[in-house]
Amino acid sequence: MVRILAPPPWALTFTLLLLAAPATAQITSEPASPYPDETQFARGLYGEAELGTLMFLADAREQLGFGTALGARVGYDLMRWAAIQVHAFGSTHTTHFGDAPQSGQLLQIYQGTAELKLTIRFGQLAALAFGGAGVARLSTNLLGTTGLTDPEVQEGAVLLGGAGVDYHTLSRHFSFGVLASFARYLAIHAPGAVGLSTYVRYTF
Amino acid sequence: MPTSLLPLRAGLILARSLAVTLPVAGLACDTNTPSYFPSPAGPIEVGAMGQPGQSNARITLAFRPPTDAERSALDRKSGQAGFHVPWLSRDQVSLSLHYTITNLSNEVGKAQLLIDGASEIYSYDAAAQRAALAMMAANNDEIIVLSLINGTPVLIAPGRSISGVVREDELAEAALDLDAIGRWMAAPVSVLINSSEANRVGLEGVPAGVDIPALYDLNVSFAASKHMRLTLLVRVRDDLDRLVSAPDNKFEPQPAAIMASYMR
Repeated sequence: MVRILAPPPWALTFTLLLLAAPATAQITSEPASPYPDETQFARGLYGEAELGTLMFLADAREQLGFGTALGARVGYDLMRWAAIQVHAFGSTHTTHFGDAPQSGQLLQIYQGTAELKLTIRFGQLAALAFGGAGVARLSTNLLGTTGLTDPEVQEGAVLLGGAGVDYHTLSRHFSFGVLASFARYLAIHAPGAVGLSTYVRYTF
Repeated sequence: MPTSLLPLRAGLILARSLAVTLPVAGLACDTNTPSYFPSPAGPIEVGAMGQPGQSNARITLAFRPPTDAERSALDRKSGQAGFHVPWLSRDQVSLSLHYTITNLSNEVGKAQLLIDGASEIYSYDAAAQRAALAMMAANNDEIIVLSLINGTPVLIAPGRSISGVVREDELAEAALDLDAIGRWMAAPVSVLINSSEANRVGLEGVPAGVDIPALYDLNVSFAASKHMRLTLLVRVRDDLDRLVSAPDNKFEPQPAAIMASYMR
């Protein structure tokens, strides 16, 4: 007759306790997100299209009103934080000179400037500042008949500067943002003009 | 590409961009945009104490003269057409007159504008004709001489202003009427009363396809029953960009005066 030897109860209990020992944790924190990876943002030659408004200051604000403005920039990122760009910008205004016959006329302001842009990026967001100089041209001599410019003066230098915020879409090439600028038109007898615009940018 | 070449490449790209954008911007600036000319004498006032109730403002537009080549071309075209082809054509020069009349008195007053002018071939001055005819008149018949454009008299409240426009098409019609009277022997009353858009009365002698000279000189007569002020602004669109600001190099034709546009 075969006799089966059963383990003692304390041995079974000990074995179960060994198997139930706590496991060591393998992940102690969340892994760092790979996004946004700024090194993946396109950099170099870029183009921008902008839409906004231009408002002159002081008396000229009422006389020229809010102008609808369109602009385009072509630039090149020299470094991650610095770029040079050329900026073509135009705005159209309806004149208001009270009862004078100069009221109700359309006037366009065209300008071309060369600018330096500095950028500090915080992930998808970036703060930027820019400044430059160029030439502005009035479409007509109308302001010369009102004293806002000297007679028959339609061209003059323009100095401008501004700041904005850029938001990268993570789509490598695209970003968009808002800009605020101040421009001083040396030919126009006004303290200057404030521009507000939004833009979309494509970096090649 | 070596990093040191990046600024050079950027410069080339920007230069190309400028080469494209600046001419485009330049073209945009010159797409038949208007030029404005106020009355050289400034606003005129009439009807104040000691002032007459009528005055005139004259605005002569300065265009550059044709070059020798352009003059030869005009002569050739004139020879082919059989009549004078003008340097300033109505089809290429469009005028409008913007005005504001302010009643400076404390009573309601009536104001009226009468507009005459000149092309490079003929000039028309209704006031001069009235004066000449009055001297020749042997009886007391009232002599009526119409201007090229006869504004409707308007009532203006004290201290108020009104603004108005003599449109491009109205001044183009005036140019046609002047040419019809001067060159093509039209009866003044017929063409000055009738609009060529409505009917061709008086224009039967004007050849088809003739190049009508544009008005380059406007003579605005302002009459008011009270003390009033007139401010004028001429708006000009010249398709060929011939307007000049330099007074020493301008087109100075010698138009012949018309002295026959009266009726009894």
